[in-house]
Amino acid sequence: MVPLSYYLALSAILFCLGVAGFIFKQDIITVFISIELMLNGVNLAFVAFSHALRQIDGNIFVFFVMVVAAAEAAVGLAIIIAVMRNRNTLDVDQMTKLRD
Amino acid sequence: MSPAIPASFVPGVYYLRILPEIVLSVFALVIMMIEGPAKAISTGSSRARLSACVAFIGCLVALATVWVQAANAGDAFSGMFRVDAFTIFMHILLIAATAVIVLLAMDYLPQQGLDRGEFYALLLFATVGMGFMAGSVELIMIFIGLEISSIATYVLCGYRRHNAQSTEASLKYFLLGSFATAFFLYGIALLYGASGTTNLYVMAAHGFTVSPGGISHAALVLAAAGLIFIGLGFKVSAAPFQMWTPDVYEGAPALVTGFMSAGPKAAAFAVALRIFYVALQGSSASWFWLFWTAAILSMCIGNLGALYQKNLKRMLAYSSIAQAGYVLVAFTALGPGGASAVLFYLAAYVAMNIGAFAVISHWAHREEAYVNLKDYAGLGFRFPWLGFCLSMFLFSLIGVPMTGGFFGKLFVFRTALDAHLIGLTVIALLNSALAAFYYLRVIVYMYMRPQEGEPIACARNTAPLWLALASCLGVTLWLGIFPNQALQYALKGAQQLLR
Repeated sequence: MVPLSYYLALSAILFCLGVAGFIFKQDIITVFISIELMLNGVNLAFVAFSHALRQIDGNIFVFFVMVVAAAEAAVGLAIIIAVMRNRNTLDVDQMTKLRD
Repeated sequence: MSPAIPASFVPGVYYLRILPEIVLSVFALVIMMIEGPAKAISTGSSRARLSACVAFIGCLVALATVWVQAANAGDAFSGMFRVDAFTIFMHILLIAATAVIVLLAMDYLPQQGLDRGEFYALLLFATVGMGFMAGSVELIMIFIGLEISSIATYVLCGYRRHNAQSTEASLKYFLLGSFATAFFLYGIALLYGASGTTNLYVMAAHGFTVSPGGISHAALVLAAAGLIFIGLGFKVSAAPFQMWTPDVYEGAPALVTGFMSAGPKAAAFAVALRIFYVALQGSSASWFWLFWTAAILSMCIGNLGALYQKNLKRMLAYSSIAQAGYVLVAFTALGPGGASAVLFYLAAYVAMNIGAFAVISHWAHREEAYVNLKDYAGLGFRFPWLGFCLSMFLFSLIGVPMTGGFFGKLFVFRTALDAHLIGLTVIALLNSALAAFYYLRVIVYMYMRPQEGEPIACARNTAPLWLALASCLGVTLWLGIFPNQALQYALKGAQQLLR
């Protein structure tokens, strides 16, 4: 059996990759996908804990996270389309209308 | 493996205990339904007026049902939702804030040519989410409440969807908000791993004793506290997670900015109180320093940033970062004193900040043309009541006696001193003196600067605007002159929270 710490390490790696993508990527769609990657890292942690504790709670939580992520994606993509229509670009560095 | 469920968790559904949320959801759905059929028989603006009336009635009914909720205190949905004095306090605050925003929207939306009914439906849905945030004692429910309110607020931010600034604000809020949610969720996952439960009161009762797979639960709890702190820090715009706040507050429609700076922030503080004061009570020594640092950073960054702003929305964005810093000072004090000071300050803050944004959104005119400091020159004498209201709200934000802001700050500083946080209190005092400068500058512009160029005509003053301004002003003065009653409620809420 694979020890719990391996799963947790993988979930932390996924989460950190998501954070790195969020911070360093230029394209808004990629930034958005990085957030999904972070959420999947979290989901893995939930499932792993749920398995280790022999409970169902963590698995149920994962369903809620997926549903909410889908709702968030629907709204998020709509916002991205609105931005695209106003700006004709999806480059994070071009989003400078609001700054000090 | 899983901890036994204490006897106090009576299983059962108890719809009465979430009645305000049900009422708000129903009214929001009604608004969405009348938007469709009414399109055939009426013009856009009269339809939106109907939606506005429905939304306002919905808020009033929901406020009334808070009393039903209060009469039926206890747990609902197998211990997922808890009705106690804390929940009641937050519900009254959040729903009343939304009611005022609905009134203001009746004035603001037609003026901006944004007169569509969805605004009200989204506002009510956001309030449902905030209600669940305030009342839930289960991490799953808290997360869902947080998302319901956040997703609705993302959309509201971009409500001027043909405007590049508004959509950019919406995008930034959405991206950073989801980023923060991921941190919050990761923290929840670790807390679940360390305790084997997602119920905050079970966690508090049983402590963190589970070490799945031989992983130290102390390390898990510490990491979880940090991650949840990051997630909620974004939501309340506490430094060092405040970088989105000025941009989003500047770009969003002024009224939505007022809403965002009040409701979601107060609800996020409620969640922070539940998680840190209840579930993580035992490890307060380890997370205390997070709040201490964030309090100092928020106050300093907020107040220093606000000094140079020419745009009033942006200035109030920095001011709201600083105000979050004062709440964090109270948070750092721990115990029932700290929680009650947080609650009282939130009440005062919500009233005065929505009031200030009410005047700003009214004065903004079409396409938000007048939101800069120079546009306020001469306002005080030409429109005395509008100027008077804004001055009162700004005095309250400074913390001048006779206003809610004064007693809010007084309680915060006193609790911090009682908790022997002398350094923090001194920094907070210095900061509130610094803050007086930029708030007073607005008043100086209104009363002492002659206006340049064409005088700005005031938009038609409507009854809903005055009702909203009067209620904000009333609450601000009530909290400033007779603070005892509200303080009693806050204290009761704090005691029941920590029970």
